[in-house]
Amino acid sequence: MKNKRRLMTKEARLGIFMISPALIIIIGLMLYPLLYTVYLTLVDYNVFTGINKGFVGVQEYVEVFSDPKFWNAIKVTMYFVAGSLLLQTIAGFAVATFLNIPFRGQRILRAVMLAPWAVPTVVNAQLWNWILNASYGALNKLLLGIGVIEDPIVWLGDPKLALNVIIVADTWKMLPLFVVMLLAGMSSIPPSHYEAAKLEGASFWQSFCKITFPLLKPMLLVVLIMRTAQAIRVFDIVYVLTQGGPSNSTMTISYYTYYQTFSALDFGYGSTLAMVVTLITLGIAIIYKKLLNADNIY
Amino acid sequence: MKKSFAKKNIRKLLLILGSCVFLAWTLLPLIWMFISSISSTSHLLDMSASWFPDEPTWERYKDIMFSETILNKGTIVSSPAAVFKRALFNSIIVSGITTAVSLVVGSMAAYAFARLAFKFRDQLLMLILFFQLLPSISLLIPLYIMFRKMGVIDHLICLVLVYVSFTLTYTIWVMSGYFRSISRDLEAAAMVDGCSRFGAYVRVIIPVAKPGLTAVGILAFLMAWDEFMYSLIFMNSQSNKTITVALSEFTSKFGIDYGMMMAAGCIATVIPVFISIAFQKNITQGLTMGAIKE
Repeated sequence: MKNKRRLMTKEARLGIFMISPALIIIIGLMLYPLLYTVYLTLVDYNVFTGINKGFVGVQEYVEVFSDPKFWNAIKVTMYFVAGSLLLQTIAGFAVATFLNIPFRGQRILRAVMLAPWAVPTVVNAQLWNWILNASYGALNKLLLGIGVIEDPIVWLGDPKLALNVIIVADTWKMLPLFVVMLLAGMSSIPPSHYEAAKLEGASFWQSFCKITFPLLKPMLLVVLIMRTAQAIRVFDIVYVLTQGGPSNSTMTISYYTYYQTFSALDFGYGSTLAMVVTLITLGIAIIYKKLLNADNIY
Repeated sequence: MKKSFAKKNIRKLLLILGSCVFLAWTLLPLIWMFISSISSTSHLLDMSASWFPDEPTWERYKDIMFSETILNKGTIVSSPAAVFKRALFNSIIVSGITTAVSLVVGSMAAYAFARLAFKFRDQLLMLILFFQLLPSISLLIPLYIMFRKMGVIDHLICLVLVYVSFTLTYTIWVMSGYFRSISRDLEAAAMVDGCSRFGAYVRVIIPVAKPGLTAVGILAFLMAWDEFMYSLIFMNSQSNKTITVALSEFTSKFGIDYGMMMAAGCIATVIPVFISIAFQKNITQGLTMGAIKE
């Protein structure tokens, strides 16, 4: 008995030893900074002069919630999240279904499919910046060439267009992620399901609605959690393409936080915005998790 | 009989059509990036010019590869190409070190979480899952202040530290699930043969877990290669910038040379795209492992 106990402590000691490097990094670079953010939201502290005027309570939060630009940023972000996720889910299902059909060339298509996903976000943004350039861009050149439009379209300068254009650019890069995950899910559906459906005389659409979609739902939810978390913090592509403009139509919450902190140099306000983004992300993650658990799959 | 023949042809036609649309959507932007990078600037700015240049120019690639880097107080004064060359070098260093550290530290911790019993184990694992969901902007401001106080801002080390912390949580989460799926008999056998527990981990478990480690390693590398926000805020000197930031600042600093930007974009893309195609199986595995264990 005594011997066994000593063995346990030896195991525990090894365990602590093996996690300690990781733990030090996570506490030092994540936990401490996170608590520091909370602190920054509650005090009046000027980072550059070092003057700390002490606790001001939730004043910064009140300011954030009464700031119309904050609500605009929330609206823009929600539009972006909803738009890109909807587009990518629909297109993802379409492409995955297509690539799941056995035909010659399927393997080549599957191999090149991932390429856009691997393109760095900033390269993706600059590439679309160039394609959509109003005066010299390939898209206007193409559309003018085949006579669809008569005057070049200012894709990124129009408040009604800019955010939608960003959604399309984001979709070009992120669609492969949906397709890869959905294909992985599809390959785990036994073919006998479809054979049975075929014998019963089910149409392609029926077997999609009754077999494919329900069985892929958990996988879809997982992808949606991943993508929602990513889409809420969208920054790089906005920074390169529009810098929040025209007339704040692409001012997402991450970009607004960056702008308030590092252009307007209001670190307290920026921290408060960052905290709100954090809480929204975690809230959404919890909702999704509840949905997943309700599905009783994982 | 005739009807099924027609049906077969229609099916074939639809498949070909679908493939073409999909290939065009996926590849045309990439092809255009490449064509732009080998077209002369005057050709690019002529809207009535042909799509493909008559005389492709490889000058830009040569410039980026062989340009000399002349530094003056952290600013590269020689040429835009030299900025890209330096930035590529920085990106390779940062992403490489991040991947290595995150694999060593992360897999060790993951093994402990998967196999060893110690106090607060499950609570700590939940903490790590929580941090995995944290948006990067929540830590940007405090880390900026911390690194400024420590005097390491503008050094590549602070990027490595931040990237490691972000890839580490993912590595631990995925690998602990992977280690749990490996049979316990393996380490038991190694320990009977005289290995210590840690020795069994290094000599037996790590080799068995290689596919999983490859998958998370690739994803860590791609994440570090792609990162933009921290690099933008932390790296002030031009000579310390990573490729993503160098690309984003290109237009403002040197006027618009889209051809040069596309050339640098092509180079910045070649590495991750090559990795993604060569290791497609591992990546799919890595993504789904992270998903299913969540």
